[in-house]
Amino acid sequence: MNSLDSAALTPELGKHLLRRWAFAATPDLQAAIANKSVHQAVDLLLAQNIAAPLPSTPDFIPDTWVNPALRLTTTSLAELDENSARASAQSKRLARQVEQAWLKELLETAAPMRENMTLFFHGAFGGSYRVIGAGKALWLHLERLRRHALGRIPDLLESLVLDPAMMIQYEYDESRRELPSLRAANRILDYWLVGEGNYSHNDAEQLARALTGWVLQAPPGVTAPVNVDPRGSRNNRRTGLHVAFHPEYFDQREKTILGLTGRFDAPAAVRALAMHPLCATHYASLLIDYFGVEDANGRLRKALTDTYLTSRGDVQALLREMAAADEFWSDASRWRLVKSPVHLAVGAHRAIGLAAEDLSGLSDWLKASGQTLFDSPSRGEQRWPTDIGWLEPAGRLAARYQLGDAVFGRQIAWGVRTAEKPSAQNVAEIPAWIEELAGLDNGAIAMEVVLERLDPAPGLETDQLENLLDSQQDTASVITAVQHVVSSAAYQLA
Amino acid sequence: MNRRDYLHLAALLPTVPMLSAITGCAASNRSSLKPDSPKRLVVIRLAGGNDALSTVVPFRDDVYYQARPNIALPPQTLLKLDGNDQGLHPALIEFKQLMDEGWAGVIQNVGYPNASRSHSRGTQIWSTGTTTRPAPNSGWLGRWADEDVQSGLVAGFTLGDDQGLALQSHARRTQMVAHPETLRELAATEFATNAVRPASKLERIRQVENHLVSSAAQFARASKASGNRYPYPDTDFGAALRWAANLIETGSTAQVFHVTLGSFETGFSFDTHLHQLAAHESLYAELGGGLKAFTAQLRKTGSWDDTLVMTYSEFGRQVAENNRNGTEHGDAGVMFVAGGEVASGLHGQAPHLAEVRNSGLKPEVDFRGIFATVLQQWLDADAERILGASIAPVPFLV
Repeated sequence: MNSLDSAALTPELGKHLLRRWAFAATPDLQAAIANKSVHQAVDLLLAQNIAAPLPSTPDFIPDTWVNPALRLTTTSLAELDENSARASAQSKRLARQVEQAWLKELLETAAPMRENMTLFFHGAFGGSYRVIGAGKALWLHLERLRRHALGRIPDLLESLVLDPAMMIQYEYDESRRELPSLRAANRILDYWLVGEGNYSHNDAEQLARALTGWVLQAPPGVTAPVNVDPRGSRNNRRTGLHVAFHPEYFDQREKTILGLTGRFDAPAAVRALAMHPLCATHYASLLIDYFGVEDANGRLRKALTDTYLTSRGDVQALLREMAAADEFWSDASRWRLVKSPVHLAVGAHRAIGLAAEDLSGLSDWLKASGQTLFDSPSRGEQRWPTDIGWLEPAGRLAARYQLGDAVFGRQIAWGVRTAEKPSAQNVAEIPAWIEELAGLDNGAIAMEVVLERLDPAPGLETDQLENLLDSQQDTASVITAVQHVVSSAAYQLA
Repeated sequence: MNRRDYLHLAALLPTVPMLSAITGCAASNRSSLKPDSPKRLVVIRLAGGNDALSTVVPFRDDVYYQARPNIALPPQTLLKLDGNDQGLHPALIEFKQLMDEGWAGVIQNVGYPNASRSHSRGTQIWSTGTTTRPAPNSGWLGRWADEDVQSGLVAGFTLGDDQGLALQSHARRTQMVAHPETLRELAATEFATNAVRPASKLERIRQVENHLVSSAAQFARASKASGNRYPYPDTDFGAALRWAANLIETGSTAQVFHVTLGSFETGFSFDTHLHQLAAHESLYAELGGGLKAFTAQLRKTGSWDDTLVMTYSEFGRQVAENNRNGTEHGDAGVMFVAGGEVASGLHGQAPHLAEVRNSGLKPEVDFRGIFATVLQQWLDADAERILGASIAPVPFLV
């Protein structure tokens, strides 16, 4: 516990909490936590997020997934090529739709902390639509992450091990005892459980045996074709996304993984390992990195590890522990985190109060900035970077500096070709506060309002803002001023 | 010996080793003629593994036609090379024109022993210039740039979405520019130059910003160069090549440029497991058309003699076709080269199709020998230090 726990948060510290936890210190959230202690503010924010309803399944997600690339014994090679090309195009289209559905939720949600933790888990686990293919699997994956985002990590991991998207990404959706998937076991140990370098080859082999027996197949009531061609790749043989256990494929022998022994199947193994102290430390470290806390002497990591173990991996308990830590509020932690592209864009939209209209421009901007949702690096094999890693390669910063244009709907010439696209501003609705500033005859106050709204790090050069907001400002100059702040070095930090 | 005399002689030379005896001295003499002009290198990655036998077709070799009953190219369609039993793919007509003019060549049977047939490992080996493991986390041209760590100037650009490793530099002397337009726009932006608080993280962002701003000015200048007057293909590859030419024309500090032809993202690459004929028709035309426009621009603007272009691909392909009108991953391949000081024509002999390794062509020329030539004779660098081994240069320059 720290001294802030009983005293009221200052506005500055309140904004720090909201930037890190809720993408942006929006006026409504600032008002909600005004004059509250850390303890009260955290309680209130968590309660709001837990109470918010989960988004419903979009219409474009089919009830039953049918594999367009299914290879039957009667399928000619020409048909197979054609079907595979169609499947690839469909997967890309649906991935884009799922991405935009999530972006819309990120921009509009009443549960920004839940979405932020969903994003945390997505980034921690990785995955790519290029491998997973089925848009329905992406949506089921997102739903699963979201449902557990503020719950218990062991519950999430136990559920995740039978998640079609992860089974496809890690290649254990047809894992048999005679050919266990060592690759899947390594990835699960690396990304979900204990982190690289914290287990032996034997641990991975034993976990691979536990992962056997589960198969993706046609759901009950749907008859799968009997003439699926066994020569096809797994992507050409998958008949559905229903997870079924086949005892005959399962390796029932005893396994010993990281010192834990039992006749584990996949969920049991992952649940047991999720309570391993190394797993607790793994998540403590990931959370500290993700939320950009300076923990020079490792005290917070130890505290979060203990909290993980005593709370059985409760995300809310971990967040409370972090908020109770001096490290989170220290000068060394504040304004030191380079925002991820999603945090940058979502924070700007929410702070400005822009409606989520056509999101294709935002998708393009995110891709150029290095973060396409459902497409983590190396075809989903790697996790997202954090902090300064987002600025590698350096050209990413040039793309990030286009955010001011992107949020106001200007089309940008992404890619290597130079043909100029139309650069019209297509804002559906100018936020009311911008219109109000345009009519204000006091430039100094106008600048104060813009900076208060957008909340850039200290150090922003204001000369240009002073020129734009000079008592004569109109809507266009206020928008330009907003764009100037959003596209600055100071705005890159949270 | 003038250029034409040389070319005439070179055309008579059957093998690379014989060529080396004549060209080694000539190259160093030519390089010293204009000490003040920076040498430029444009490296083109042919993504996916280019098929050597479709590039330079051995039309008198029965093994070729027997191995490829459905996708072999008929002799009458080929672009014949004088006095040679090999011909170029018909879509390489513009590249052939460059060869005829004395500006381009093809080096055959390039590879390395026990070649990897994995896209990622093959690309890693070609990009790093070594087969050692663990692979270095810098590219062979990145290490060349790192030789001059004191220089604050940008030494190279990777243009386009393909963020390859070849120019990866520890000293950050190279930049990957996926979206040149965004960089160009930075040139018009006024940035703060004063130190601000809190220093550490904001200052680091400002450092990145400053690094970009110097490049941004180069891209802004380059956007006004003459590239639009030349018929580059209207593709990402054509655009990247135009940026490279424009940057060279306007005196960029960068000496090396990396562009990519072919994309796994779009599925249109040299990885021709299926429909090889159609893919090559388009890709070779794009390559030849791009190089022709590039050559024309640089010749007109006076940089051609100081520019060298070379391609690479992660592996060649197998001799026999598969059952889907394509070919599988193989071993040795070919490298296209072009430039004001390139010895034009075919380098090396036709591959021995009867002597294949697991159906892949046998490498006769080590790619690291070509890199050594480029480093030593073109970029005036210490090839042994950069490549981590003493490798005999393979001459292909005048």
